[in-house]
Amino acid sequence: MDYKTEYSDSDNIVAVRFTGSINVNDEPRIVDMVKNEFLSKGWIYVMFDLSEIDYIDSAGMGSFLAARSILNNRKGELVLIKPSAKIDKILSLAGFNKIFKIFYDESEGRRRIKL
Amino acid sequence: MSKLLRISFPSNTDYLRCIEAFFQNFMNINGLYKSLDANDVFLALIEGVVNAVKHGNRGDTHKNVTLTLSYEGDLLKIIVEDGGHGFDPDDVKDPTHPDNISVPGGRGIFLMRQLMDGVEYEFNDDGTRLIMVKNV
Repeated sequence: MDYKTEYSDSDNIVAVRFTGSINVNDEPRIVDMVKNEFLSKGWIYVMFDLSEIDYIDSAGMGSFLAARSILNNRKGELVLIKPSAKIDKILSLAGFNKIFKIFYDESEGRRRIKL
Repeated sequence: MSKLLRISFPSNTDYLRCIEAFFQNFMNINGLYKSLDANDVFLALIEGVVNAVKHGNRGDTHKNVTLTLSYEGDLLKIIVEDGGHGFDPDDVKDPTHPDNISVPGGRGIFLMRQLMDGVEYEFNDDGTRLIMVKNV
């Protein structure tokens, strides 16, 4: 897993653009990223861009839940944006469509992340 | 004719990239990419392998996990073997139930069952064997 971060001062949202796969080996990195890169600097609204992800396993999905919980505890939010069809299918199977805000359009995600 | 490929590796998830290449080679050699959803099969395989490494062998790199892929007739079979002492597969909770949906873990076996046409466990003195099948 690799990722790039984009900080937007205009709406106080940080976007994380993932590439590759998100699996069990990435679990601690994702939680660490949210705690030490974002929260420590006051960024509490986060978007995970999944458009370039090859696959995500159950441990990777678990790290999303942990990351969201950390942000929610600080009154922030984590949303998922632009999952490809194959990633969207797995997220739905795992029930993530019931608990996460998932947006297929980034601008909509930016508008609704704080609602 | 049965087409079978087997790999054995230490119980470390750093080997997942090797597993991915192994799977891709098997699928290519057997021309299976056009016949089934490789993403579904690969994710089920990864869930089985990670469970074997983490829970079966508890990350003990002195113990190996063995992965066997076979294709015969219209059936793709995945076998994952570890040295664990087993568990009750029927005790796995539905992670999509409202009581469990926010729990970070416990989705691996559920996903395997959703993505494959058959998932069975066998337990014996030597360890645990996971057998998954997919109709091609």
